[in-house]
Amino acid sequence: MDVLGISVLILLLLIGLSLVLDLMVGLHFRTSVIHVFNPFLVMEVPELIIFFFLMIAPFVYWFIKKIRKSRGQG
Amino acid sequence: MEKAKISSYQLFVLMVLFQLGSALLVPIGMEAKQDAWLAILMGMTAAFILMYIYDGLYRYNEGKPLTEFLKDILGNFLGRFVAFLYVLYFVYLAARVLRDLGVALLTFAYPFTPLFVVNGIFILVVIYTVYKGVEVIARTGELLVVLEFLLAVTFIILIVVSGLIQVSNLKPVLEEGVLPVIKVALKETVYFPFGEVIVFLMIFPYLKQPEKIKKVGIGSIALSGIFLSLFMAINISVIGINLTARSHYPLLTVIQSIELTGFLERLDIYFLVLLVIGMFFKISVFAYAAVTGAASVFSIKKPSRLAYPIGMVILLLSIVIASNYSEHISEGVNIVPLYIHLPFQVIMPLFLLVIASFKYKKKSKTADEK
Repeated sequence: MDVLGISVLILLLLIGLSLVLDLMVGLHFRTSVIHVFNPFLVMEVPELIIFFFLMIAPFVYWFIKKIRKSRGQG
Repeated sequence: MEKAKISSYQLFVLMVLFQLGSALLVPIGMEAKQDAWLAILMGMTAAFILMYIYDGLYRYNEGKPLTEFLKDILGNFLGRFVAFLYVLYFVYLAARVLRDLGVALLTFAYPFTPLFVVNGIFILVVIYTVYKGVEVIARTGELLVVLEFLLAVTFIILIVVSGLIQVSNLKPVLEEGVLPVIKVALKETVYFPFGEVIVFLMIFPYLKQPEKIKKVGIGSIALSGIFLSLFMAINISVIGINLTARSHYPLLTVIQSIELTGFLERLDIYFLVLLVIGMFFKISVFAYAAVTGAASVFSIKKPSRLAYPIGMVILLLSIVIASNYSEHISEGVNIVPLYIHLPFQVIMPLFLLVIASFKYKKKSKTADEK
């Protein structure tokens, strides 16, 4: 859980930095916010599958590990 | 910190591959026009001073990575905060390099593949390498450096033999005097790629012979600087300054123009292999530094646990960092060197060196008095 929190914190801060850089280039705030979400809104089905697989994979791994551990103890 | 050791040769190879990484492929120092190769050499000379600063900083805190000795120099709270800023810096640069790689691959090799998929596949390899540790990165470097230099040498031979080089394209040398070239060197080439070696402050503690750091650092900067300068001179002399400045990947254009004995042509694979090897090491080193740095800042016992989540952060950030390639390059050329590289590569290390020298002088004085 701590690892997830650290990663989300880093991601959010760096997205903030990316927004600031967009503003420095001369874009409006609204446009730069849209640019952050746009790549995910235009994803096609295979891309979305890969995206969710990559995001969910560590949780599945953690779940399987936990089940194996509990079976080993039992 | 993991229990690993790397030799000075492995560090040298890693530093050379890291610096050649993306700098070999994109046009750098283009404001200096046909003197871009000179701007790279001047940037290299200025980077020697940076290397002296980094080495001095490490000497005061031998055996500790950057994120650890920041706590010693600035105190626990402020030290952790600055160390976290460095972690953000490394993640950001890793994401920038990943975006460069993804766009380059899409441009000339995989036009119908989405950026997310290309970047995703590449980052999985990087995550696995970072998970395995610094020894694996170093050993992979030792293996692949042979291929990289073999390709570079054969490329130079092919270009010379095919008679494409027109030295007149490099003239007039220093048309507007030496000042504009120095300006480009101090504004651009010293930070990218040479100044980025600050990331190796996270890897120096793993070196078997710490007394060789200065030698290895200066040597690697000199070798990669000479190589980059040579490649830039070849680019300009083959396709001219206008096309070099306009092209996203001048080296690719040069490689595509090789035609020898009627059958040796379409050598795009040269570009592809150089691109993948160089970028792999650059992203891996940045990701490794970010992972170990974050583990140190947040007191995580097993840094490898952070490899996958930080890899995913790098992947997501590489997608959202800019809406298109022009914006990405514009940010990289106009904003990043001045507002991001300069504080992290020059101002902060200088400031830390001054504080460290005062602090340790005071310490040694009190020890002498006792």
